[in-house]
Amino acid sequence: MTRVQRERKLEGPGVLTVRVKEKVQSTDVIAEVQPQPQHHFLDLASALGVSDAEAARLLRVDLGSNVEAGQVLAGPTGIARRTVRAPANGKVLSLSRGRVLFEAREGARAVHAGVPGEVTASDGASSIVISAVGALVQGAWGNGRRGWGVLRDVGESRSARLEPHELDMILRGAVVLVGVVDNPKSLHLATEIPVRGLVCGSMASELIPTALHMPYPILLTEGFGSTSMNSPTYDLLSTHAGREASLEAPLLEPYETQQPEILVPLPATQDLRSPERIVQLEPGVRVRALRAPHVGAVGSLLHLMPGVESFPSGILARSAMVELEGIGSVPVPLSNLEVIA
Amino acid sequence: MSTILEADTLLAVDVGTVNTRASLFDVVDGRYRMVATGRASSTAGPPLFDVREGIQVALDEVSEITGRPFFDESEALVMPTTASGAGVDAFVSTASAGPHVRTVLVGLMPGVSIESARRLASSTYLDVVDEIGLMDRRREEAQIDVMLATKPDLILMVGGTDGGATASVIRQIETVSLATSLLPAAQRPALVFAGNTSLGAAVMERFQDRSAVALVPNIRPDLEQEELGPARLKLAEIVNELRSQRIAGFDDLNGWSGGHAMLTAEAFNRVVRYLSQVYDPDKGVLGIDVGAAHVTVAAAFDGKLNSKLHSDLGLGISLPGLLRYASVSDISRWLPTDVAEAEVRDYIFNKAIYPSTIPAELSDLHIEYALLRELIRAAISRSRGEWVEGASSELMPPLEPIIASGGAIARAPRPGYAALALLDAVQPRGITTLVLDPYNLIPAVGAAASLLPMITVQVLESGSFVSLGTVVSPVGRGRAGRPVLRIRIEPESGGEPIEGIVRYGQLVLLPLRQGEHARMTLRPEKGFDVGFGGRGKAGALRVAGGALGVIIDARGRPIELSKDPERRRELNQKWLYDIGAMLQG
Repeated sequence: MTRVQRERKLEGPGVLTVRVKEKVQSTDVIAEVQPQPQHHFLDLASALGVSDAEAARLLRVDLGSNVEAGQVLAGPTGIARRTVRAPANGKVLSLSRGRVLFEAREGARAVHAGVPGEVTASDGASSIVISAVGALVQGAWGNGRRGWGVLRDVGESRSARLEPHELDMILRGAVVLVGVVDNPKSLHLATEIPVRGLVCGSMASELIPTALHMPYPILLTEGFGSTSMNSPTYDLLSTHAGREASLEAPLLEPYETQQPEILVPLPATQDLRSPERIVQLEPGVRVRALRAPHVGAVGSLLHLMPGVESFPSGILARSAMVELEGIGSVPVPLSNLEVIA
Repeated sequence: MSTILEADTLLAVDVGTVNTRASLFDVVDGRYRMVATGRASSTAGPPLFDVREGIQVALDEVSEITGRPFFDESEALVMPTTASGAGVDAFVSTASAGPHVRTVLVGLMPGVSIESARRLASSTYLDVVDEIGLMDRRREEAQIDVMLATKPDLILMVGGTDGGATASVIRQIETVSLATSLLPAAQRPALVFAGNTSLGAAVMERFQDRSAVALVPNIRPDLEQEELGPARLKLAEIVNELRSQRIAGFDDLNGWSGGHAMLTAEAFNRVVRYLSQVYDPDKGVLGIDVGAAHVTVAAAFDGKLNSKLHSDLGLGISLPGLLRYASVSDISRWLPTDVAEAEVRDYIFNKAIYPSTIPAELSDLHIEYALLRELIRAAISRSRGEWVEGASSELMPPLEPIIASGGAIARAPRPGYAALALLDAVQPRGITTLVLDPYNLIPAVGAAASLLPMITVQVLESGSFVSLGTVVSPVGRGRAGRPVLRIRIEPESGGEPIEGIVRYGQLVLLPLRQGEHARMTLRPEKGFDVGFGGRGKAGALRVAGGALGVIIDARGRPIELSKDPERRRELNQKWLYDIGAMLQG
């Protein structure tokens, strides 16, 4: 169990609706954000049949003020009492050479907390930090979405494949836990139910284009192919089946701070610290193999090997002797190991 | 950076996306030599976003090897070297790690100023997210929305030859000015104007005090002339500034480098350009650097450089970008064993997630090297259109040498792996030399060139670079087994001459050790050209040995792989044995 900080940044202009020290639930709205506005030039001079200077004089709204769709922006003028009206809700930003730049705004979109916790920081304008406590698992890949729901273990095994027939209405609103996904039908059916998220060990890479279009978050703990979910992750998550889980499944982007994560919120029972950012590779550290021949296997680091080790590929690499569960003691290149807490 | 230093020791650090390397150079027997190198995982990305940790580990390795401390008690770099041997006389740094600069290009004509701006952008770490030109059919307001929605770090404005177009350039500048005025001050992009020089004052006036605009000399002063140098320097500054804002430790690196931290690609280009001035003027120099996030292809002909940094190609996070230019079957055709296409595809995406992992299994190594071939092929194919020589020919122009660097190439378990991958990917013609940079020293010597001019040539001539050997690639077509050329190699050391006939389809190694020289006589059959002035023309030249000796690649140009998958795999396997990448039995 650990304490995590989840930052929520507004992607455009908007307002925060929560304050520091406020407690939030996953479903709470923490901000309202405006979609990217569209801009339009409205040629007042042509529309009113007047000169540029006269058009400026006929402007009926202040620059920067909000206007509603249909509201008169300029005019009336002439025998026909011609006017120019706002094409949408928005504001007039500037006036130059007889034309105005109009910014059209659509309705605000709600931003949800996505995780239960406490707001611990805010810049008051565009970002807040929510501190949450729970069981945290870091993933390898996400489809660019975020969500939450009750965790359900479908296959009851870390290597179970998600078959289309297993997706029934009992999974409505659930975050589905499964070993492997290799059938596009399963992803589509999950949309129809709809599920609120999918956590799997691995997925066939040819499903990436489909996964990117799914409206729910998909998070892979291992990567692409048919690798089972690693046993500590599966054991942890399946133990918490029935509890709410929060999924952050950002796209793979270099130099982004948010990594794919699953958080199962739990009541804080002790003095908790944030996870260590650097863990030294030393005897006793729990590790996971990232590459063949033992991809996905977990175990304990026995010792760092002196010099470099030769592998079947012929590559020489600095390595560690690792006791992998169900496999035994094997040398693994340090580059192919990941520390797990 | 033009001051020439009196310095014996030079410490160089290169911060890559996956690896951070430190190299110490010292004067040995009157010449600069690389005396120690250290490598660590880069820490520019998550979770640290601080390059210092990786640099420290790499430097600790160098310190451990040499016994030389680099920092004092206050953790300041000791410079120059003290009487006790601590510290170094000079320090240079290069970096390719860090986010790319999201850039919107604004220009006039697609084939003129915008074309030059594209070339400028593709030579450094810019990511062009949109282009706005005179022929753009989007309305002005749509162009404004693009500039707001793409959230650029930089808007690069070009257009108008000096003394040429003004009104259309100003109209575009006004659109940019309006768009940037709609952004909060903290989100405004950097602005660079590299167009009609006479418009400098008018451009400044349009932006007033709202945004600072960097004015640099016109990249297209007239229709015939392109001048990218000054603009490239300004862009390098912007890239460095952006990195410093987002990743800790770059300021320290820049400080240690006397304010002259260089971009890795820039240093790489400098070396390739230099080599083209000292090698055979009738041939070009080709440099290929395959990193995790980029592939750089630099080709220089008689000092004229064309360099392209492909940020959508790389053997790490950028690897999925390869699928835009090559199919999975294009990649699989280089494999010596039967591997399901789904497995190759999964490999690509897993390598993007875990870019620092290495192939421990032989089958993984084959996939990695098949990917390497197609990455180089794709990068060269997208670069060649702008080369001074051979842009339109199916065959490569004459090259001497071909230099390759990057983690995967440096890690080759045997020189033959790297050589075969380069021969398959580049498919050189005539006579050339393949050179590897196993310690990633090119950025270091490129960055040090203006401080210590002798270091470039002296380190390049030292054993720190590995010559794989002289390659002879006859151009022509024939039936498999038909004689292609007769060869005679007479070692200068006085050993037994080697003579023989090479047949079409063969890949042959003839022994000539690194450091040895020989006189090589080539008599190609009618219909085959080895670069002595035409088909069937014979000749002789002095050649240098290498890790593989002399390589005769008589597989034809371009190489035509068998359409039968089984036969193709057999041949791939055979070539691996022939070139010594895999050992028989």
